[in-house]
This record gives sequence, C-alpha cells and structure tokens, in this order.
Amino acid sequence: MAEVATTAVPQRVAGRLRLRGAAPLAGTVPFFAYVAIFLVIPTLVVVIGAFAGDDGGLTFANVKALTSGYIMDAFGRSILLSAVSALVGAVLGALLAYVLVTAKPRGLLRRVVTAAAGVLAQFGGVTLAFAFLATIGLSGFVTVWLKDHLNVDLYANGVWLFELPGLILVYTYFQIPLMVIVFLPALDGIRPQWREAAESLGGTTWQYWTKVAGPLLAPAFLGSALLLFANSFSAYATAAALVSQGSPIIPLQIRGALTSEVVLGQQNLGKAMALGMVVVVAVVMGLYSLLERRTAKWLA
Amino acid sequence: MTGVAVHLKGLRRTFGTVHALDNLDLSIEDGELICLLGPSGCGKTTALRVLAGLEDADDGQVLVGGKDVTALPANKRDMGMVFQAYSLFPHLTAVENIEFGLKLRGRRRAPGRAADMLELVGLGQFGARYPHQMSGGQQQRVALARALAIEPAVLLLDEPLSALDAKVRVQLRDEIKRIQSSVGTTTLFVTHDQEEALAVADRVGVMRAGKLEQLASPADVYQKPASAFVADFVGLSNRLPGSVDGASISVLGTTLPLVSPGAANGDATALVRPEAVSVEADPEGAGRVLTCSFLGPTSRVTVTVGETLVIAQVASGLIPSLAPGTAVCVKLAPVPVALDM
Amino acid sequence: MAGVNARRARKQRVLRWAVLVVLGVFFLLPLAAMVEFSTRDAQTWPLLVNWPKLSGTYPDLADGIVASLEQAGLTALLMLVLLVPTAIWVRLRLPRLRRLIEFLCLLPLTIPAIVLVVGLAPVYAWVVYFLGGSSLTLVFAYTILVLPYAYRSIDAGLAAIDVKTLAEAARSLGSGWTTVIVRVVLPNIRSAVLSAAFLSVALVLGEFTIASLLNRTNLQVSIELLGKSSAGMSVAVSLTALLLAFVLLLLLSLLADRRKSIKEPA
Repeated sequence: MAEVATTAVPQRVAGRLRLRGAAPLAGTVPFFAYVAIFLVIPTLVVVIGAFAGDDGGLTFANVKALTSGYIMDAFGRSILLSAVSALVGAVLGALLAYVLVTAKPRGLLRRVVTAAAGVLAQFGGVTLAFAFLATIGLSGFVTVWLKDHLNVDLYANGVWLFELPGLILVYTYFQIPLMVIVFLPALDGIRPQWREAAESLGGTTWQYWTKVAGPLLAPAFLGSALLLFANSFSAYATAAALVSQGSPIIPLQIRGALTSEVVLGQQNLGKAMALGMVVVVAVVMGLYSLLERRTAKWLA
Repeated sequence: MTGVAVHLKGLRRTFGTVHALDNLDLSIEDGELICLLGPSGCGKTTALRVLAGLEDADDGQVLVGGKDVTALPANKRDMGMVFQAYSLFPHLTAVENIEFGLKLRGRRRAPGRAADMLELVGLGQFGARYPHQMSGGQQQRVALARALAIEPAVLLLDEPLSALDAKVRVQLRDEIKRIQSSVGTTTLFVTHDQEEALAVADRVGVMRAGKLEQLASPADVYQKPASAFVADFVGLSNRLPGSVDGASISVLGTTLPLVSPGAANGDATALVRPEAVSVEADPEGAGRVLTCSFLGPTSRVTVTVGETLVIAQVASGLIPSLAPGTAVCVKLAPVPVALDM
Repeated sequence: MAGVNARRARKQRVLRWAVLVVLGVFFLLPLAAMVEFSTRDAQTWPLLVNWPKLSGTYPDLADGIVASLEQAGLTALLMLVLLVPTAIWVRLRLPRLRRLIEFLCLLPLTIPAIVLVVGLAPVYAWVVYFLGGSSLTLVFAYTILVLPYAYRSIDAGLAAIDVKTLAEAARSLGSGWTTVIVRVVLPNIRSAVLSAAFLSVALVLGEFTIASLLNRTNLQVSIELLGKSSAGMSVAVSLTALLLAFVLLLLLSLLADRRKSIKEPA
C-alpha cells in the first residue's frame, strides 16, 4: 500500500508540472496550425513533388529535365533579367537614396518620395505593365509622340517591349524604389562625424568616399543589390501581363507547366522548376543576410 | 608642428535670428589649453567648428600661427579633432584609425608612429581591436591618439567626455591634461561641465549667447567672476539682498568688497559662494537650520535668515550640531562678491 | 565671403535637383501616359465613377473590385487575429520560440508567390471541398503573403515598448493575461498594428499571381482580362488603384511620423 502511494504522488505532481509547461504553448497552436497548412505543406508539396515520378516513386528525372535546353535558357534569361535590373536599380536607387539623405530628415521631399517608393516597390504587376503599355506600347503616348514629332519608330526592329529588353526596362521601375527603401537605412547610419574626422585629418572628398564611406556602405549596397536580384527573379505578374506568347523566363515557364493540361509529368516538372527557383532565391537571401549582419555591426 | 598661437577675430555667425557667434574675439597662446565653457546654444561648439573649418563664419578671421586660414577648407588646416561620439571609423582597427591621417600624407613610418601614439594613450595592447570591441573611454583615447598622430598645429576637442560614465570622465580628463602638457599642442576644449573645465584648462572662457563673458584662469573665473552669469554658471551661488555703499556691499551684517566696484548705491543682490558662508550653532543666532545634506567630505546646510534662504557648505564634522530647527549664527567670509544684475 | 562649406552645400543641391528631375520624369511619365491613354475615350472616366453603370457594362471588373476589397479587409483581419496575439504571447511567455516564429514569418520572402501557388493547388482542393470555390478563400494564402511585412511591423512595435516590463507591472497589480494583452499591450502598439494592416491591404490590392493561377478573381486579374477587350478602361482602373495605394501609404508614413514626434519632444 505504501509503495503505491509513494509512486502515485510523484506521477501526479509530474503530470501537473508537465501541463503547466505546455499550457502557454497552447496559445500558439492556431498560428502554427495555420502556417503548417498554408505554408509548410505547399513548400513540402513542391520539394517532394519535384522528385516524384509519374508512377508516384522517387525520381531525379524532373530535376534532370531542368538541364534541358529550353529550361536552361529560361533560367539563364531569368538570371540575366534579374542581374541587369538589379544592377541598374541598385545604382540609380542608391543615387536617389543619397539625394534623399542629404535633404531634411523630416522634410516633405523625403516623406513623399519614401511613400511613393513604398507604393511603387510593392505594386508592380499588372498595373505597372499597363502603365508601360500606355507609355511605350504600340499605341502608347511616347510611341505615338515619337512617330508624329520626330519620325522615330520605336519598334522598327521588332516589338522589344514584350521581350527581355522590355522586361528589363519595366522591372527597373520597381527595382529603383525598392533599392531606396532597403538602402536608405544604411545611408542614415553614416555619421557626419566620420566625414568631418576624415576632413580634419587631411582627406579630400574623393579620399573620404574611397577610404571611409565606400568600404562602410559596400556590404549594404551589395546586400541590397542581392535583394533586388531575388525580387526580380521571383517576379511573375508584370511579365505575365506583358508576355502573352512564349515563356522566356522561369516564372512564365511555371505558368505554362501549371496551365498545360497535357501530362501529369508536366506538373512535376513545374514543381522541379519551382524548387530550382527556391534554391536560387534561398542562396541569394542567405548571402544577403550575411551582408546585413556586417552592415548592422558598423552602421546600426 | 606644436605650439602655435591661434587668434579668432570678430567672428560672427547668425542662424536666422539667433546669434551663434556675436563678434567673438579669442586668442590662444602656443601650447595653451583653453576650455570654452557655457550652456547649450552659447556658441562654443560653433566657435570650435569655425576654427576647424567645418563651418563658415559670416564674418571675421581665423589666424593660426600668424597665417590667415579663414578661406582654407577643413582638410588643409593642420588640425586634429576629437568628437563627442562616433569619433572612430568603425571598419578600421585602432591602429588603422590612427594611421589614417598619416597614410593620407604618405608617411612611410606610419605603423611605428601609430604604435607610439597607442602607447602614449595607454592602449598599447589594443591595436588590433575594432571600435565596437572597445569601451567609450577607450574609443576616445584612440581618437585622441589619431588626432595627435599627425602632429597638428591645433588640437580640437568637442565635448569629448560628455558621453562617458562619470568615473571614466574624471580619469580621462586627467589623461588628456597630462598628454597635452607633454606634447605641447595648442588645444581648444569645449565642454558644458564646469568642473571639467576648471580641472583641465590653463584658462577658461565662459561663453553666453555667442559672446565671451570672461577669459581667465580657473581660479580667477571661480573667485573673481566678471559677471553675474559667470558667478552663477560656475559653481553655486547664493543670492543675498544687501545694500551697496561705494566699493562694498553690506550683506547679513557683514561688509563685503565688490569684484567690480562702481555699482550704484542702494539695494542690490550679492552672489555669495556656499563655502564663504559659515554656520555655527548659537541659541541667540538669527538663523534657523532648514535642511542638512551629508555629501561625503563636506555637507550642505540650508539656513533661513528672516526671509532669506542661505546655502552653506560646512565640514561634515559639524553636522551633529546642526539638526533641522537649530538656531544658528551665519557669518560671511570677507571675499569679493559679484552683484546679480 | 563664399565659404567652402557653402559651396559644397550648393553642389549637393544642384546634384539633388538634377537626380530628382531626371528620375522624376522617368517615374511620372508612365503615370502621365496612363492619364492620357485613359482619357482618349471621353467616356472612360465618367463610366468608372458611375458604379451602377460600371457593374452593368463590365460585370467582371465590378466583381473583381468587390472581391479585392473584401479580400483586403478579411486578410487584414485574419492577419491581426492570428499574428498579434501570437506575437505578444510569444514575447511574454515563450521567448525561446521567437526565433522559430520569426523564421516562419520571414519564410514567405524566400518562397516566391509563383512557387507557393504551385504547392497551394492541392491544399486548395481541400479548401474548395470544405468551403467552396469562392475568391474569398484566397484570403488564406494572402495572409501567408503578408506575414513577413506584418510581423516585422508588429515585432518592431513590441520591441519599442518593452512588453515584458509592462506585462510584469500589470500582473503585479493583479491583472490576468487577457487583460494584459487587451488593455495594456494592444493600446500601446496601435500604430504598429495599424501599419501592419495598411501594408496588408496594399499588398492584397496588388496581388495577381496566386489569384490568376488558382483561377479566381480579384482586382488585378480583372484588370488584366479587361485589358484584352477595353484597354482604356483597364488603364483607368489601374491608375485609380495606384493612386489609392499611394494615398494609403502616405497616410501610413504620416502616422509613423506622428508617433516618432510624440516620442521626441523637440
């Protein structure tokens, strides 16, 4: 009897303790359940589906198919589009951010431009595509003006707006604002004392930029450029609205795979392409976060 | 190049309606350490920055070693500067920071000289550390080493200790004084802490609203304040009513000489230092103890004499006899006093 | 006397205006073109502001607009209900879970919408089975999309007010956890919550990828479809949506400014 009593009590106490430790967790169950269903499961569907064969077994055929000509070309074009738009966006965006940082911190200019940047960075997609169609589309404002006033036919050598050059131009429209948003905090972190110290030690403006501000901003600039790259690589809506025929870039290839009703195998190929995209973006974002940490150490 | 004289002549700088510098004249002798002291907005930092070339005066001249440098940009003036915060370049080590100015001038002995300067400020082992790995006090020492490494004509210190802990502040200000004396560079030190100014300076310049109220040795500024503002800003002052007669004023029964005689006869307010007030328990005394605060080596006693409140600084040994409510006799030492305008 | 510093300030000003003018033209030109394009047919704008006539002439567009507005509102709501209590709860009681929550909330940044939609198809098959195929069910996916931005905003708000101390003070005065959350923490993170809501609305109004590839309707999808038949009207609607979003985000930044100015007494 005594033995039963002594073992019963610790069990009950332990049970109560365990319950107390678990109770707060219950408050997070809705969140985790939701994220599991609508984020984790879709991610797993893509990752697992990329290696799923037509028969349901494991296969590398889909991933291997990624290396086939037209898909590799699409990856290549996606990377080219992302790299060029990121570079142009980074340089021009950094310039605009520099202009903002030299203006009054609470002034109207900075607030309006920052708000505009916030909108334009987020709200790409269809709206942007139509805006460019209205500007330099076949019957756009600028196209018509050039033809009427300067006798210049923008599309004498083909309609480039719906191909890579056009996409690069349109993507820049949201890359520049995104650069402003992402790079501005780093510029704010540059203390005026550093410039003044460099000057009092005898440095010229050029020496200040090459020996102090340049090295300090380099990680932030690079990181922001990488973020722009990832953003451009992942973009779908703008290209979808502009390009109705053909699929020059990977996101449009995925569209093709999803909307094609041909074979189930195509579906899994779409998943493999999606996995490829995730890998590229994940690598880029990983590098970005490493650079962010360096920036935070110096310019926080 | 150490030990040059600096002259600021008739500097004027206006921001809208505010006179940051109002016809300021200041001369620093070679090798001297002058402290500019004053409340925020008095123009002391503006004066330093105009001397550095980081700001332009609307009018006036800046002469360094006899040469007019007013039109010279900051990077051509031979000056070393230490800032209140963010002095060091965060992406360079301590040694690289110190070498910065030397490398710009193409000095090949840069590493050796940098190491020497690091030793001078007592941080010989810290060469490879980055600013974020150092404490505030250590960063300011490296900043000082960096400024002195280029052997500047003038050393400029813009409230270098204001962002540091109290104890570090006291340690570092003695260090700065020691280093400045040994190197002998003409120095301008800006601060709002009067104790700091009195401890460090060869001469103290008290500023108000863009003008220099008094430029004198720390002892003179404290004991012979040129104006009520100086007397009030540097140290504590009692405001005691009295009446002026010729070159002295009669306060609480004592006749005290005036620092600046020539005031009109009649009622006036004298500024008396707490340590010039002595308090003694006296059952027939005119005063009553109000409060008593133990401050360590000395104590502060507030006494009411009629309608007047007097603050006295007494030796802590007297405290037991000065409990609140005790009748006391208040006496004033016969040192010269200034008048409250 | 022309000071060196005054000269540098002037050079900066010249550069500022040069850059602003050039980039300003680049960014305003498409907007101006949209105005010009949409007014080529004098009927476009009057029709747009006349709701009954609009829904009669372009029923799909009207459906899309209504759907987007409902989606935006519901997403903001779902995001708030899901994220705010969780963020507060984790900060107060489960600090060790913070890294995991942060990772999950920032994960959508690494998973592009185009990839997410590939994996969402089977999940949505179940959603349709339980809740039908209406466009409103997109709200579930949208809440995931807004997670990174909403979480960053709310987390920043919580970090700024030192939740732990507030909660401890409230608890020591005798409040239960619900009171702590509702009456102590929430009022203090009002602007962070509002900004998270604003960001969610802006994002949902601009979303196209998931709606289009899951064959549902929203504002952007209907604009795209409309573009094929009536270019002028589609441009007019795009412009309106863009301007609305701009006003929204401008209000948001003014809100953030006001909070900052309260914290820093001049």
